[in-house]
Amino acid sequence: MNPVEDQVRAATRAQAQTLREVRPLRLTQAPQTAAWRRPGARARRTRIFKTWIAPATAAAAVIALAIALVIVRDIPNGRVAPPRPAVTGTGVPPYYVAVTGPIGWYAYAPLSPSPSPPNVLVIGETLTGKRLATVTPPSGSRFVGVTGAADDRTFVVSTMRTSLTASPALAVTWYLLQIAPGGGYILQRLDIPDMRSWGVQAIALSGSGRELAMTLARAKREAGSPDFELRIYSVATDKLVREWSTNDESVLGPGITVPGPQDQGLTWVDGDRALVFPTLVRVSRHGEIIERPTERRIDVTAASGDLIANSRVIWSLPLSPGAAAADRCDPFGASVTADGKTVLCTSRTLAHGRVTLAWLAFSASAPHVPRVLYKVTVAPPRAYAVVVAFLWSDASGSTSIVEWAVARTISPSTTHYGAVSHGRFRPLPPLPGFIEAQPKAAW
Amino acid sequence: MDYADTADPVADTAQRHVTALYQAHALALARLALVILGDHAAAEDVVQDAFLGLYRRWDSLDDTSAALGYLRTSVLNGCRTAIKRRSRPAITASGAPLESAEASVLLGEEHRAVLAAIRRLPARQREALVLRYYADMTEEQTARAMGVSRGAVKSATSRAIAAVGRMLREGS
Repeated sequence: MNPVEDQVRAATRAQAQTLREVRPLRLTQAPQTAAWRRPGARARRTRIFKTWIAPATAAAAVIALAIALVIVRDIPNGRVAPPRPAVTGTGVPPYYVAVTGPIGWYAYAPLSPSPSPPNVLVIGETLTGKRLATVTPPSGSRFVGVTGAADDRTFVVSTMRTSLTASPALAVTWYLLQIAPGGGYILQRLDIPDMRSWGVQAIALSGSGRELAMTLARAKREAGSPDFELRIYSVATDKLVREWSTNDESVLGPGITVPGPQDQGLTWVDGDRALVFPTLVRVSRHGEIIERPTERRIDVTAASGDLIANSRVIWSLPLSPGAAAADRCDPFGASVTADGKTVLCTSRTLAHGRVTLAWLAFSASAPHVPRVLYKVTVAPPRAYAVVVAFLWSDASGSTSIVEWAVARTISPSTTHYGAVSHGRFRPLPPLPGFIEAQPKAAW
Repeated sequence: MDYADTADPVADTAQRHVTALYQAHALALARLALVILGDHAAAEDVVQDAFLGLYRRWDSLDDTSAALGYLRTSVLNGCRTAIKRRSRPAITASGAPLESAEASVLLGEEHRAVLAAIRRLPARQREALVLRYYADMTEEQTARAMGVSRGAVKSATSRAIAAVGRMLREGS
């Protein structure tokens, strides 16, 4: 291949990587062709949605995982063990659960940008990278989401049917995964009801592991019906516990996320007494409409009903004129720590030919000035892509697992994983089944 | 209205399958459109239109397993239409594509120069180039997707590479 072909391949793939999400599909009975926007005109919504608008219908498939490590049994008094302290001496949880390989769009060559590892669930050790168990999905399904409780032993994973010939084709099935001492695990199917025409976006298991929260968007917009819902299901009984809905456009933006921890957009806080979810609020600034990342909190004791009326804003990205570029969060991905007192976000700046990546924390006591948890400045290669993210953080945000890369090609060898604590970065072994830039893992 | 309440079983089936296809392929197709068009919003519009078109025509499809091929072709057609509809090309006077602030940080100078060159190619050459080198399609697959002969793909690709190389040399 000649150098120009190499350049074309690298540039097109780098540009493709800048698109991480697509907005939800709106099926209407009489669809209208979307109007072409003037070149350079601002899109009505700059927030781009991810593809995961999978409406869920109940799956008939029963997972059959004949792996010696699997022990399926019911735990007396409910399925979920009580939380235990779950950190190593370094402050990071001992185990991770990662979804590897094609999760959706990567499964379909030739549109796949690169060869992919198989779609499996991997249980491993955070500090050593040792793979403790590998779980394959049921035939015709893929693992798509994973979220963990505070004990680092209890997880909920989801699969989605991918076969169009199977019926129902869109089923999402939920499983409770519990890691036993030594790395064995218990996997149980949950009977969370069919969500029909709703698509699952973000999921978050409560710290206790007893409730599963999820945001959903309606795949097919219907007049007079809400487009967005926040639901809480009981993991023990599979029943719907709470349900709030809205048509508020600000919520529809950041709510569309791939179910998984890297979203960090839906968070249980204050000992599972409340949930925090992100919105993008449109504000006018110097004659320009911008979308401002804003976090809203809803107490889980609030009666089911209107999501906006029952929630309140707890943080908005400061828009002070003097804010340094490095203090500006990336537009997506702000999250709140489990104690509800800190908002985490990342920033990236390019100045004087050098790229600076920063992991920032806004505290409730000083919501306008972020603390820099960690910062790295590198001279990028001539052609490069950037990755910067929080993958996990402890309840107070004092210890985090992060990743970053500034490289021509994002790959395991160019991506840095590590724990950030007290301003220091300690490398961790890479997660398995690396796909592009964002591992889909929970701790 | 939930599926269970849907009065029209054809619409119900179409909705399920089209939504499943969207979940599985929308991002890849949007990325393909983005690489061709250079505009996030436009790329998403093209993909949305393709899926809406599929939804409307679902009951007339002879072979639903060919839906992905239909979608890919629709996206390529949509990109061509979008390019034609543009009153002005989405390229600044300097030749750099118009991109968001985030994208401008994500993409280095060298990538931007290459992408600007790609966007100055005739539509067919641009399509062939993107399908061959971004999507890793073979000449045969590219020919099927574009609805042209394999020879035409080979010729368009060769000319596109030569043109991009020339533009990069002129710009450096």
